[in-house]
Amino acid sequence: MLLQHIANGLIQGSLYALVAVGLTLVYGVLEVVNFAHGELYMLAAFALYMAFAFLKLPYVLAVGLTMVVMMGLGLVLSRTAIVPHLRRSFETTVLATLAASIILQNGARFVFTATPRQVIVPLEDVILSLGSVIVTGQRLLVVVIAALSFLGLQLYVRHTRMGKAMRAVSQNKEACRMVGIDVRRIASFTMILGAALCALAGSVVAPLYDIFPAMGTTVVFKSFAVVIMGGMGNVPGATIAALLLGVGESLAGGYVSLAAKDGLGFSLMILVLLIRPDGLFGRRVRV
Amino acid sequence: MRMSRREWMLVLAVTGIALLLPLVVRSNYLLHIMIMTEIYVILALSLNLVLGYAGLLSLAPPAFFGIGAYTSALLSLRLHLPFCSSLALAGVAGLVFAAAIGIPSLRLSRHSFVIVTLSFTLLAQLVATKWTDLTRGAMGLPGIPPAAVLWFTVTSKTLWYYFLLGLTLASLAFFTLLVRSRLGRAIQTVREDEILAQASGIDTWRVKFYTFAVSGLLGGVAGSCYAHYITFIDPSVFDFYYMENLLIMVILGGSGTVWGTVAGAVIFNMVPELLRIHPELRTFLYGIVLLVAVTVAPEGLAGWLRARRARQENIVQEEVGRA
Amino acid sequence: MLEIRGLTKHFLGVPALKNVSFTVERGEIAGLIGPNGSGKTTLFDCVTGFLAPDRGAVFYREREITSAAPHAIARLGLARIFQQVRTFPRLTVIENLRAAGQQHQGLRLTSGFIPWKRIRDLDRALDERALDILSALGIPQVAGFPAGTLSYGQQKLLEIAMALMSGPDLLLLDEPVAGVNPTLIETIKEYLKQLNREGTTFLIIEHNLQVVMDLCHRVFVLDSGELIAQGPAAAVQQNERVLEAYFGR
Repeated sequence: MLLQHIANGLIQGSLYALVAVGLTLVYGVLEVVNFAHGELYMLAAFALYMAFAFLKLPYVLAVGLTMVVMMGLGLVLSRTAIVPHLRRSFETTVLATLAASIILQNGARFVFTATPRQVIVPLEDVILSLGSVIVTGQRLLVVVIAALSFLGLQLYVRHTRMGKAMRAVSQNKEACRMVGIDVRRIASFTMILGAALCALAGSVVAPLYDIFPAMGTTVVFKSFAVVIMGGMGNVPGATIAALLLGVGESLAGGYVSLAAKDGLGFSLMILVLLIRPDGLFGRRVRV
Repeated sequence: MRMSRREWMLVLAVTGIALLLPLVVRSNYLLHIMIMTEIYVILALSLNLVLGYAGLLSLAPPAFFGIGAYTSALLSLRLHLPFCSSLALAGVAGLVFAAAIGIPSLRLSRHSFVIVTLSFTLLAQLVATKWTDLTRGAMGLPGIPPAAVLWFTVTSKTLWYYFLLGLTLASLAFFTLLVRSRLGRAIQTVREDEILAQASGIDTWRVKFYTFAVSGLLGGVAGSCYAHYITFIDPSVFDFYYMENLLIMVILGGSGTVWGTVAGAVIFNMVPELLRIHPELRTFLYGIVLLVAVTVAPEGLAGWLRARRARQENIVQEEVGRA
Repeated sequence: MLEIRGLTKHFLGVPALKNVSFTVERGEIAGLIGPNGSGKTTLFDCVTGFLAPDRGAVFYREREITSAAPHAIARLGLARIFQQVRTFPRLTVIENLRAAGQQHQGLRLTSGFIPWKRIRDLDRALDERALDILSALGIPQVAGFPAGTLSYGQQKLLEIAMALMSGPDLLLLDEPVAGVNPTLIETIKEYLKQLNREGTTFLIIEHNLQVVMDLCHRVFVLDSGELIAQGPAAAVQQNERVLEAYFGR
């Protein structure tokens, strides 16, 4: 039973990680908190739904299409709400992304209505037993995708020019401008990367839960907690914090109460802020 | 209060109009809109104090609003407290929660502060929904007793209008006194340059704490009025919808001014209601308006006016001579 | 008056201050010079409570202030001016000065809510002091303008005026005449000398060596975080290590 809880927790934590990493990446590089991040996740799930329901695409292709669409949306979002404000105060960018979040969520509500949708995928029916632990194929896919994304991101940032540029921007925007690095292009690229991660998260999780316009809000709540716990801008930190939160929630839900499960994220976040305001693993950008 | 003669005249004129309005307006629907506007003014003051004067983006006003509403409702329903006590205690509840959240979060960076206040609002809604023993969850609290002030019960909309007008004017007076006092000046220094403020001997953490606490008080009071007016509340009272409206009112009306808040609340509540714009569409439009406003005029109408005045003064300065 | 003992500070492993110790005596005008990046502003930050040193201690009038908060240090009579001009841009000049001076009138923040007579009197005294200082600096006419609309030179004067509102005994100035035209430099220099005659102690960071030689009784020299020389201005000017630090071998 304990192992099952832990397994469930790791799966849930992987989901949190997929969403939180995009958020913390954008913050780490641009020092911008993207309040529309949850909406990107929600729209990705809807995009997948549409690919299934209307285009009747097989799962893999649907995910691919979702990623392309979401990356485009990430670009639009960055051009409208992020890039114009790069030099302005922090409050301005928050308000801009908040406005974007309002537009996206209400737009989705208007187009799709609040009726929850479902998506059925082949892997749902696959059930694996690893010892005393039972997982469905789709849930295992969440973990696999999260792990691959994380590895991919680390490799990318460390070994490509763009990755180096992102790290440079995260350290000092002004200096980058002075040596001719196009900060705006990198800002857009970072947002696209964040949107791609959301797309993956949305596509992989959509089959597991209901899809509805407000689903971004609850997820973003947890993501913020994870980002703060891991240290803002710290990608590995966010990943570990996400897994810890997932497991913690699972155990709390199993052994204490459902209420404890819901409140755990917020409580841990406040606790971390009181004791180690820079996050468990420090704020320094370690992309 | 250091108010110029012109300002006093404006205040009297506006108050006069406000007092006479119900005599001209007969429709219950219009009265309802005006009553909600009054509640919004108080709530907007709460946000303006923190955002417009202290420069801190707080996403907690809906939390204080909801906490005030639930506190007042529960005190009246379960403990049968009279309205005035419930109202006062709702304000206190808002203040206490603001203090509790303020202690850990005001020390942090502004980034973390925004996230913590947002999380607090989301958490408050979650608690209201899940703690069914106390709040009846999504079923809400119906039958909240109407307000009773001194010897009469506020039943009709007209009475509610006048009661709230009094409360709103009192809040405005309190707010104006506050922002024009030493504390008010110190609050603005936090917005302008916190490091310089500290170097000038101002205990900026304490200033931020007081600001946040007062904003909690105002939010709680607004929430209590709402609960007793509508006589039914449920967790939707914590909806981010209120935050969106407030942001528009404060930012477009003019953050950092008293008049701006009133104008913002009046315009951005009455106009969409009068035009009977569907709430979802309204929010969607507000999102767009907010995005445009933030890009074009980050300081709202009042700020734009101020900038214009400053540019004119610059020209005058050229003639006065430089050092 | 101000004693710095063994002050050490690292940033991410890079040493900014290495075991710096010196004393500023009451009534003197002391200079702090050194090439760019030698740690001068970092030292100011540590002294005024904006940075916590890794090691070492700071004493002001025999009292340890190493871990005190900036606002508490300011209230003890130690005022500071920053390298880049800082004002409260959207507040008027007179409001800036009131804000800078109000904490030092012994009135708690929360009182003054309702303008009783006592508070009105104190406010009047505050305003008089503000106008006096503005007049002494030659800019009384800008009192009603938002600080952000002032010219660079006027803003620098405003900065000095704000620091003076509290009646400090020790004033730390970080490049007070940087980017200022020569006439204004003279005005500022004369004013500082006047204040010194009236009893104010100064520690000034400056790159303009002319000003340093003219104003300062004693000079401390920092290079790469280390104190490499100290003494009367003229002597330090000839010091070999100092010349090396500025001009290389």
